[in-house]
Amino acid sequence: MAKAGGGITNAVNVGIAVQADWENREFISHISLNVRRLFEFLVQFESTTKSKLASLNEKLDLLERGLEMLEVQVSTATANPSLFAT
Amino acid sequence: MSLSRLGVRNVYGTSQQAEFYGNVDREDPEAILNGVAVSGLIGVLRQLGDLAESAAEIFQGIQEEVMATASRSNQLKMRLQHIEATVPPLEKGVLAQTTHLHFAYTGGVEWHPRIPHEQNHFIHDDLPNSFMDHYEECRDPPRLHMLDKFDINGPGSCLKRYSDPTYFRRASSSLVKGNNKFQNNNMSCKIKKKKSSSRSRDMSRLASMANQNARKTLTSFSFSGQTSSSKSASTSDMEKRSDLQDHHSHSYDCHSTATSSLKTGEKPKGGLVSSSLTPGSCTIASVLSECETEDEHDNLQFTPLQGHAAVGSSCVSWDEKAEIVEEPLGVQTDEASVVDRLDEKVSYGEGTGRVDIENSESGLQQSNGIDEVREIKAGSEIVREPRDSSEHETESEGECFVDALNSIESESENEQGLKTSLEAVSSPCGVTGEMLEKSSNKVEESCRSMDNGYLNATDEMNHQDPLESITISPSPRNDVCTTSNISSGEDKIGFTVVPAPENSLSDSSNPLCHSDHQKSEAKVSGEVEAIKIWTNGGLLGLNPSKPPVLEVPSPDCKAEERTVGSAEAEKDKSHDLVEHVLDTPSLGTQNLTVDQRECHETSSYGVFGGLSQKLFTNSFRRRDSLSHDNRQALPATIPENDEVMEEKSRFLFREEAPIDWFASSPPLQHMKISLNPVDNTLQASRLKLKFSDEDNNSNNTFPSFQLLPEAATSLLDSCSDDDTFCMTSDIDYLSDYHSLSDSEQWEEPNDSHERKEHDSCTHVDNNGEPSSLDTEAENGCVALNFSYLQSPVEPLPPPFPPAQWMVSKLAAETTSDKKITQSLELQDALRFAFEKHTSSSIVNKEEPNTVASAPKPETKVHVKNNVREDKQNANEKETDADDFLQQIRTQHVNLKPVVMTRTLSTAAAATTDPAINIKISAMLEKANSIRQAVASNDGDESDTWSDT
Repeated sequence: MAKAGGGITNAVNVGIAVQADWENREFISHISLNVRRLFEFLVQFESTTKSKLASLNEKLDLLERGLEMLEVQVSTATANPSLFAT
Repeated sequence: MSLSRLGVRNVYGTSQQAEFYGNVDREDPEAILNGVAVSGLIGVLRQLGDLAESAAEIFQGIQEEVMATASRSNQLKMRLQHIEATVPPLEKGVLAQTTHLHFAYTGGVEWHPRIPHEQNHFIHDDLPNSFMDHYEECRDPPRLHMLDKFDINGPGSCLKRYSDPTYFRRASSSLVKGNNKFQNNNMSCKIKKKKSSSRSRDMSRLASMANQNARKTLTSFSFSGQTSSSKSASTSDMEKRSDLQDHHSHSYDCHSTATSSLKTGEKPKGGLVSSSLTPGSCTIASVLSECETEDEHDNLQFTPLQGHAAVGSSCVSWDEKAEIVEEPLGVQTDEASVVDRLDEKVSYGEGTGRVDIENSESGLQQSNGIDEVREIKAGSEIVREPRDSSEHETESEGECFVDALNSIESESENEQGLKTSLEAVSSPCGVTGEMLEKSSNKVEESCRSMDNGYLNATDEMNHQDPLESITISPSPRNDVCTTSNISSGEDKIGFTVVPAPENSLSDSSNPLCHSDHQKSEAKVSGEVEAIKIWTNGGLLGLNPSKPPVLEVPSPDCKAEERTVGSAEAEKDKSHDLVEHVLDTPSLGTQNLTVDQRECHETSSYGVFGGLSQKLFTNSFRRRDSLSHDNRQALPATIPENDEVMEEKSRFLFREEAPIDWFASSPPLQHMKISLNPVDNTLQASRLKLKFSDEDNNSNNTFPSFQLLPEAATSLLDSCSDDDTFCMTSDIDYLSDYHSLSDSEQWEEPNDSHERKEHDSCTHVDNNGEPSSLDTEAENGCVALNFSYLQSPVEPLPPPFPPAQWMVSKLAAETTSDKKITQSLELQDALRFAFEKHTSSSIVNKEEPNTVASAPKPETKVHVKNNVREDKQNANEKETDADDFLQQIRTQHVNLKPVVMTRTLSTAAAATTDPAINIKISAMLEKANSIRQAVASNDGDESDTWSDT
């Protein structure tokens, strides 16, 4: 009886261990999946952020060029006050 | 190669995780499962760690970029604030400007932005990690620096040799060059084999030494320098060449190479000198220095053979022709030849060559005689051998110093081959002197042929455009001669050595050239004369007119003439165009019927066409109603209505117009005049100009002088303040208000035509027979004027005259009324005088071509056209200027002063007949001077003159 009871208990224990393992695996997979989602989010965030920064930089480039032209014109105009002498 | 920037590894993917469950007891499943769970958790932690790391990188990058953007924006903000601070005063200045036009004329800002392109995806040094990983995984190059101690070029040479990235590029290019060189060298080697067969004696020892040294240099070169690829490509070729040239390496080569190579200054030799610093060259020099004594002996032995072969010019073999081909190495390098000669004199004190520098210099100066030529012949035969030796010497050196000189030598050989092949072709014999003579003869012949060819070319050019060829022809010939001299000066052997034949040939050729040249000049001069006839005075880009050929008019041209009496004068001349008809004396007038014909293809159109055009257009201008009885129909070719025909028929000449029969014809294409637009305008205008009180008077003397400007003004104001407007006040103008504009419209061209006509008349008066150029110039002007008339006349009436002018007319109306009676009296007196002239001219009318009859029409036409004369005198200078626009501007003169002068002249003519012309001319001059003064003072002549 004892052997039989011992065998049964071992089987139950193994089953419990396997079930626990499955649960552990599920937990780990969930964590891993979420980590992947975090990666994806990070990558997407980086891309969108960099694209927006790039567009912003382009606008800043245009502004800088226009501003540089303005500066040159203003400097030229200030350097030649005779142009405005009526 | 993965282009993924970030890879998330599996939770259980790491190898370290197996340690957690690999070493567990197999019989304990719980332990195994626990190990697996722990490894999973570890994997999760690793992923989280990777996630954190990547997130950190990402956010760091984003932060950097945001910071950079923020800094830029801050900078922009600062700059913008600065601009905002500086703009308001400028804005105030700009707004204070009354006109902003001057800003358009101010220079802009010369500024160009410098936009950097740093954001490159592949070129920028910020490579992706995947690429950088491969670079990082690469091994280091082998430790070749350890071999540097065995290399000559010092440290780093071996590493550069075996790890040079440009190696394959240079190797591929050098292989292509090497193939070409190999083909060229095979050609030269075949020649050298033949040449070396007669010379190889005990040179094998020296050859082997030279070959040895050459191979030493090869090996040394193979270790040195960056051009290892090219050297390897040309190694086989140069080994062959060195083997072949072992036989050619004379002793004299070794002796003279050092001097000649140093003194010629050629690049290949310079390369040799520079390369002599290498160990291989040092060994060669040592070997060569050892063999000097043997070289002299060899030269002494070889020289007679060469001389014998040279003397026997008739038995020249192909081998020697091949040698001749190679000779120009010494021929071209004159300095080298001089040096060779000097060396020869030094080494062979006997002076067998007799060639010294003086001869060469005298050859340069072209003052040598035949004796010197012979001497040089004899010398050149002897000198030839050292030249050969110098060739071989250079070749052997080139073979010794293989790689650096291979290409240069091959190139030099090619050039020399080209140049000497020309000489070899020119001289069938291999003897140098004969070659020289024949080459010089060739040069002279070529010069002469060039001269002849040039003369032929000039003749051709003369046929085409003689004037240009006249100016050009002498200079190229001189250029040819000078070039021959120069070339003879430069090529010391081929051109200057043989002066006597050259001189003889030049003397013989020069007369030919001169004769040909004289002939050509004669032709040219003849053509120049023809051109003088053909020129049209350079009138505004017109083509030269055809020579004056007064052809007999074709009958078809005659067919369309409809005249009352066909005059005899028109039969001899271009009577198909203009007919002058004398009416009976009872009528008292001469009717000139202008037959306008468009015989454009005949050259006989000539002046007649122009004059007929002028006269015909003058008929439009003289729209005064004279005797309606004497109207004659115009030619049927002119489609006109009755009114226009009437007006044309009123164009009456008292006698023949003085026409220059000898004038050349203007270009016909410019004389094509269609009268249709004129008729249209006349029809549109419908001018009917009449004398109010002289309609019944059929003997009106000067109907043609009832001018249009008065018609233009007379509608509004009948008379002006001058006497000139007495006639116009008497005129009863039936024309409507369009006559104003039309009169002004016709004012300018008709005025010009009148002036032209009178120019031709004055030519006849003064000179009797005007020069062709003048008449051509006139005709050109006439042609221009007619071409101006050819322009389509606008159907709409031209604009009205300025109101200021009309006001001035109205103000002057009262003063002109007082002078009407006086003008009528003057007109009658002038008419009487003119009739008297016409009655005297009708007697001589039967011979219009005779000289006796010529002055009478001239004078009468002068009397008739005295109104125009003042304008013509005023504008004579401008007609000479041939500027049509200027003429039009200057001719934009109101005719009121003209009428005034006319009336004054008629008053003078009424007094006495002989004194008419004198007085008229004096008064015309006076009036002309006054008018010029007024015109010069103010641009608006009409107003100023009428007011004054």
